Amino acid sequence: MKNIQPLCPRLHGGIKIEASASGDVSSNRRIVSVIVTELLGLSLDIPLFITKHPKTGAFDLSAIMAIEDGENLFLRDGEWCASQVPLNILREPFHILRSDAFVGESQEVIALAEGMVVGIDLESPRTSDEAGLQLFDEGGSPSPYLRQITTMLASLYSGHHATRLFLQTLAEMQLIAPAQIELPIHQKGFVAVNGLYTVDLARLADLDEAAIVRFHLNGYLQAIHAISNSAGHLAKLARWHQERQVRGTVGL
Amino acid sequence: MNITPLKRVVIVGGGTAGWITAGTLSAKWRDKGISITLVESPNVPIIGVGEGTWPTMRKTLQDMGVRETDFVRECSVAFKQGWKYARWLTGAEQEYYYHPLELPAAYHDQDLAPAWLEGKNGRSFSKSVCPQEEACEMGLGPKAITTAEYQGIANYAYHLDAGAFAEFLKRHCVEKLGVTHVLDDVVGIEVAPNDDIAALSLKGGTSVAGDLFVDCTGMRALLLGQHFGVGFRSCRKHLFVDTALALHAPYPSDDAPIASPTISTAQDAGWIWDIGLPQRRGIGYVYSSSHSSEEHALEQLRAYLQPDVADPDALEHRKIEFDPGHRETFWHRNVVAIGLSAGFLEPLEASSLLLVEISSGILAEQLPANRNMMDIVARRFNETLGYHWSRIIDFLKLHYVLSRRTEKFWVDNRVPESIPERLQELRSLWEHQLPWRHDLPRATEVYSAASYQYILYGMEYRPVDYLTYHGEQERRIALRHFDATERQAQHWSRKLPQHRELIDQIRAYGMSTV
Repeated sequence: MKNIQPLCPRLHGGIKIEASASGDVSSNRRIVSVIVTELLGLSLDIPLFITKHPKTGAFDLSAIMAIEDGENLFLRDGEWCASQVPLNILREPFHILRSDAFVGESQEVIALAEGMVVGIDLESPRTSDEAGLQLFDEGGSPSPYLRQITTMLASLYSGHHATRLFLQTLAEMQLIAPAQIELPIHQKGFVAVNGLYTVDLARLADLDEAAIVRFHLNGYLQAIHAISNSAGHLAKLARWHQERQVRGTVGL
Repeated sequence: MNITPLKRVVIVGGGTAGWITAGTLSAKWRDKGISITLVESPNVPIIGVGEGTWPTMRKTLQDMGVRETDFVRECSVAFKQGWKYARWLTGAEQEYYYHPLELPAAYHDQDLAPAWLEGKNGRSFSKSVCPQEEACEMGLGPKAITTAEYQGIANYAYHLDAGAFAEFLKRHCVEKLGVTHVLDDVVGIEVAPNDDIAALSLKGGTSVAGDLFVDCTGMRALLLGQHFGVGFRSCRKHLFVDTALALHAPYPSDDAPIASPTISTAQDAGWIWDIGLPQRRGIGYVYSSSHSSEEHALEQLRAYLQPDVADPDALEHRKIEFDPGHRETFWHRNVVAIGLSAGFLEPLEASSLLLVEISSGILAEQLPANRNMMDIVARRFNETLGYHWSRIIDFLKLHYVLSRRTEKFWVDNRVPESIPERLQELRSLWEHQLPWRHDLPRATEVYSAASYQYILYGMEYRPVDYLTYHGEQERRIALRHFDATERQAQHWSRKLPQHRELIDQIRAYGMSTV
């Protein structure tokens, strides 16, 4: 169970975080939400798709890290095997919290943006009282590590807005289409993968010149091609998945 | 010779029939030099009890360019997944069967009934061949919020607020589809030398000329009936129900489950419909006035409401009387009747809006190029619609003849003279042959053999004996489908949201088009 609380120098001054170059990679998340500015780097290794939020149906950007739930094929013996880690994995055990989501006496918080503060999962295995990176110095000021985290969370937060705008634009211009994918799965033959959407390149090609220029200038064109090209990594995931099934081991 | 091309279509009447016709025609023809005008009286209220559709309505709306999200939000829409027939067979308290909208498994390959009739799996026909009955009983919706507009995980149609629907279509037709809307009363008809209708004179002093007129004026059938005197063919000798008492009932709480089937519960002299919309239920008793007094009918209706409605006596009801039947022809000269002007039967199996869709669909596909073509199109239209009306009457009657209820209404319904000839013939056939696709030979049938199977087997029809070529291989295939259906039902129970949850999500977040 998670226990996410607003981070407070007075209450959490003693907490230390176990160092990890790749954030909380212990969790076997199959899909993680990503932001538009990450697409280019992630697309080097990881398949990226447009997905839908299960409770609202709203479009989201996602990195697909496994074929089956409870699996993360980019994680081998605790090591992250891709050139870039999605920010939503890297930020763990920290969270972005709405400041109106908790009631409490006026406690000190670490502000991120208008109405948003840094939160911490107190149940995370990476928090401890003994060894690790300090969050605050003796005077209660944020440590260089925490300042780095705060910057990351702030860019993640502003990235969410940019991402929503990007997806909204694609949806309005009817550029999103279901991805027709069938993957060879061990002992099941070809299995259709549902719930993944991508950019309709045929429709993109039909856009008028003004729209294309606009897309180029605001980076959408680059983002679209990153998503589009990254789909090829799914075949690699299917292969890795198959290899693990055959060997029956986690490490390759 | 008159070969002026057809340019102007004038629709009279602004109920759902009028606006569906206007939208269907306009979506296809407005850019092709055909003008669509709809004349609506500001003084005639729409009848507005057609609250159930067929799945075809999805395509009808999509073809008009309607966003399903807007439709769901603005017309109090809930998803309909079929019919639940309660107490139709013997009248016993807990008895029911389903007519789901999903086709039986393997429907296009093989009849599963012979294997089912062997009775080994102990489940009803509907449950054996289709997971939708279980989904309905679990209160599930037919899709998830992540499913695109007009797509379903399970097949579905709609329950809707008919008044809001007409308003919604009107806005869409006028604002998006360029339909000219004239709000005025028709006070006179200008006749052309060839006896066609040339124009309608309006109370405001103007007149509207047209090449083709669509009569959507409801039961009064202003153009086809009153002006041209085309006769009405009553089918009261087959279908006895002629009166409805309709009301709106509140839910006990805002988060009460919304039923996904249309629930039809048999009574002494007819049946009660129960349609769940997001904010209310639409409930009504349709009965035969020769078998029940209005007082007794009202008592039965209130007794039905008793368990879930705090004070049934406080609910106001509306009485609707109708002569079940249809016009002798539907297209005469340059007038075609669509909607209640063409005819009306009891609302069993939602045939009313379906016929509007079929009629307007044919009209849009076969719009006569000129007056010379019109008589050919009209003759073929009449033949097709005549066929559909007869088949609908057969199918509705089937529900009654299979009952074993003992009240006079039900006994009278089984008198052989009351059964249409063709249905009688099919029943003889089905004593020694299982109902299957060739029994309904048209490529487009209003009710397919699948519907007949659900009703027949649901009401415990059994052949006396029958010939079948089915052997071991067919049996194996069938058993595999029965297993797959059970697994599918389990899969849906994990995947599909509760019906009310789905409606709430759509109202809050909307659906995307992909």
